[in-house]
Amino acid sequence: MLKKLMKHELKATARILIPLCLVLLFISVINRFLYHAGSKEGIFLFVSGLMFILQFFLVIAVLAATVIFMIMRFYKNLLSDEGYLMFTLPVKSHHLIISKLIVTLLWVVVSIIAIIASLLITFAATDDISIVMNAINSALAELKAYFGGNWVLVWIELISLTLLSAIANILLVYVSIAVGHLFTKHKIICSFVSYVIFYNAIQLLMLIVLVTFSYFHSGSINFAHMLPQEFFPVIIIVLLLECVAFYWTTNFIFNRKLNLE
Amino acid sequence: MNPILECKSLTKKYGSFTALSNVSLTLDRGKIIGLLGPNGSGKTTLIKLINGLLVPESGSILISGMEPGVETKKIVSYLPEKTYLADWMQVSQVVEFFEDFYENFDSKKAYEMLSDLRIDPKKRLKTLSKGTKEKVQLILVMSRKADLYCLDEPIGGVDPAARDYILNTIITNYNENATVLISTHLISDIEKVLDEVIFIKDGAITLHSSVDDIRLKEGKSVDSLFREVFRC
Repeated sequence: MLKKLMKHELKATARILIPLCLVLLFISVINRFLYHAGSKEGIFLFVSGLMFILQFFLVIAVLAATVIFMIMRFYKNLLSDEGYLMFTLPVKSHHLIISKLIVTLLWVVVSIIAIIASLLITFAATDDISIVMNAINSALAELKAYFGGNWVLVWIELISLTLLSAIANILLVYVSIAVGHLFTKHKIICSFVSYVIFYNAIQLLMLIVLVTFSYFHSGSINFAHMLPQEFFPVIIIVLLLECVAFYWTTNFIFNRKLNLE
Repeated sequence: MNPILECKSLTKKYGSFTALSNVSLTLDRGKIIGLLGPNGSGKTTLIKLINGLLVPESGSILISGMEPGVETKKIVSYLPEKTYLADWMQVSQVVEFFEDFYENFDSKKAYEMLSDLRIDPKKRLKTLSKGTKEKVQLILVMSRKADLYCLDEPIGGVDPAARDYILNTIITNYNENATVLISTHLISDIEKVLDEVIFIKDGAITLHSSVDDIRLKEGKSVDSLFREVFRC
């Protein structure tokens, strides 16, 4: 049933996000020719200026659409009138959460790839790109040195860190909406307030954990001196605990406290 | 065979408001039952509890011997009083959605009913009127071969001509072992199809009887009995 839920979730989101990404890539190709074209004066300058602004706004639109879909699909599809259908399907409530989480994660990856591709298409083989690539390479080399030249470990930790923080952020939105739903009035404002409270609580928790860890590790509470190979695992564990807590709470609310309007 | 629905001292509160208090109810298979009561009497709350959309404070619900969950959702077909379909979808996409999730859904039957009511399957739901959307939902719900149908105000928003078609659909479409629970306050329209009635008032069941018994004992129709019992 999870597969079917994901299939329908993809259908509901792809109808907007795919065309948006395609338009972005199309404009990027046009802009590549404009960028590499020689003459830059008069009406041509005006038009190419407009096209670059359009590309910029499309990049913003792709990011915004991904975030808006994450929120709207969860709120509208599960906790508004559409919830009457979703919660009476013969599926487990945690499949409803996971299907939305995986599809959102997929769109986050797709939109980031689309944006990077857009920039590469337009500006590749220019000096700017090589500067960026050099910076990334040297940062990675530095990281590798910290990890004693262990590439595998660097990548495992970097990927889990990125993935877990993306998941934790999505689940934070979900749990805030679910908690806001518990209130009888002003559900949307309550969701927003929950988000702000949870977000700050998590920041504080992360700070306390890092300070404590740093103190026991090096006798100083200044965790800024900690090295990546020391604090990466700590952050990974904290993120993992966050994910479990947010997921469990959302599922608990769906199972025991659901009260659709 | 166990009863299709068994509620034992069911209580549901919203904050300090008690929506259902100590409701015990058993429904047999193969009956069309009217759940009748004024607005705010607890009809929708009871139906939502049966469908697992709410969890009771105390008491128990068994549907065909099972607590509400994935297994009961397979055999209960529920029509809420809301329009619960996403409005960007085409009617045919919604049919496909139901086909995907419900093993007992018969899409052929759904398309037959859609054409009877002259609803174009290619239309998006947002282009349909409220009454037409309600017809689409009822068609979807009645196209399932379920054991229990819970219809919450199924005829409230549709015109009288379609009302007759819908009532006809309800009585001709369900199999003899299925039970249909219809909540409504439009009693005179549906009285002729009912086998049993349940009167509910302020979260408590005040009467559960067969329609024949009411006519025999009270010598009046369900509609006039309802007006008498719930006189303001």
